[in-house]
Amino acid sequence: MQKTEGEESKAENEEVKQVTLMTSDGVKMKVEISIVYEMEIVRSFIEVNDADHSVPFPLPNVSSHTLDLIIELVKNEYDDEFMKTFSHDELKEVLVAANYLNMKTLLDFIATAIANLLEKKSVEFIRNFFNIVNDFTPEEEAEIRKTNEWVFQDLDED
Amino acid sequence: MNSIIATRNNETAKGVPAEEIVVVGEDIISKLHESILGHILSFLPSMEAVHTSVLSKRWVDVWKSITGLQFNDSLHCFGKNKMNKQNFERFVNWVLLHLANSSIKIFSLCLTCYQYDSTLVSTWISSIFERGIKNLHIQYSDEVNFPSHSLFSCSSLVQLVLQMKCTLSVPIFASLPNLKILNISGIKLVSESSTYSEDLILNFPNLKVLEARGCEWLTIQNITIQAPLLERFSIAIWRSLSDEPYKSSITVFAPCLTDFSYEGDLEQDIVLLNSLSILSASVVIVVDEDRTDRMEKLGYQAHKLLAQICEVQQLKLLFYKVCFYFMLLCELEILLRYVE
Repeated sequence: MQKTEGEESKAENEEVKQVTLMTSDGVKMKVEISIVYEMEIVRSFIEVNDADHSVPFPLPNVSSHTLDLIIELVKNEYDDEFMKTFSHDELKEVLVAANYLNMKTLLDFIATAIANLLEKKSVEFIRNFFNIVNDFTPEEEAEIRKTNEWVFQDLDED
Repeated sequence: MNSIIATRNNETAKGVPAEEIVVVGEDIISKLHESILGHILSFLPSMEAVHTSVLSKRWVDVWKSITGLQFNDSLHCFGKNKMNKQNFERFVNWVLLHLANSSIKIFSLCLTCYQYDSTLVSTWISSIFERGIKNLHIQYSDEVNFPSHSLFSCSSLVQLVLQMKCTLSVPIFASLPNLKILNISGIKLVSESSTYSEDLILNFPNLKVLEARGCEWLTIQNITIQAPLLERFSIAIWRSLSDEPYKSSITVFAPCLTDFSYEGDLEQDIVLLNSLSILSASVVIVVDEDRTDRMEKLGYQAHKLLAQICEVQQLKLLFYKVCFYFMLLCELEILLRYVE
């Protein structure tokens, strides 16, 4: 994809229709309209307003790095191998962005990937992944485990 | 999934200052709506999804927003013993009860370790229809009553995988408008009506892949499958043990078909309509060499099957246990010349 600072020529736009998006860190990125159309939040705006595509559409919740990752994922038709190179933070950023942009296919894809990462992992691993602070008192946690003992019997202790 | 857009401050949309970069890390997940977390948990074995209720107070009920259920009685938790049968049944009942009013998009039931009461398994399966199910996957090696009527009227289905011993009553007309993948094995297909005299029609306008392995196609009527977008069709079918005088034919209307695979004894006719698009075909014919009385008929049947795919670019052809009957060979040579 291209990043432009200034004006883009109209002739260039006619080959592949593009929409300019402005990320949270102030980067303007020209993105193919087929990719933009997967972003329901942008698509509905464009369709309703028939907007001038050269006016940057602001995405205050998506960084340029995250948008880069998303565009590559869509371009590569959601390639597992590419996504395996993501860090945990990148996975979470893409999840949050996919949710914000309302990209259904990407959301399913990234949710599956995170689920695969969490499968068969310990309670501590999952707490770390989601930055969860255990706010139970030991008594409360014991109570939860005891209520349905047969569900938690094989789960590791903290 | 309309309600999953987390509430975010959208007022800063215009002229975002560069310093207002979303902070990644600590609270990125805590701002997410429960349903998104539930969405992730939908792709985990349900036992693990339920286990997240011990993570923190916020997570006690997060698992209750899952829209996917995966029950597998052979799964081990953290390398420990798998659940005993009683606890597994209790767990499935308990989860289904908690989610009785939720929409269920994915349902996967793999029962490979124990034998269950067939009524119980039927109840589990019946409970997930009419809740927007998209992916249904059931694996079970024992007999079970399957709610055929619910299945053939389940228009939300996208992917259906049934590897189980059950009887499906095929209605005289059924349409699954969203189905893309259909994979059945071990199923017995019978007709819902014994008096209807025309073809049973199964309409799958979006089906891409159809795989049927070891199923018994026992309908009195012929079956016509209309699948205008079907790309891959694979069928393994044996009927020589059955002594019924009439064996219904299976007609597939699939003008976009590119891959065709057949494995069987040629006893039941497979008719491919408008199938000139097939590029690659695999035909494995398995016949009983003792039944020499059938050889002449077999030659004719082999010709009939192969003539339908004479335009293919790639053909894998295998015969097992067959005495190379003269006529059969002739047919083959002629056909292989076509292929080249």
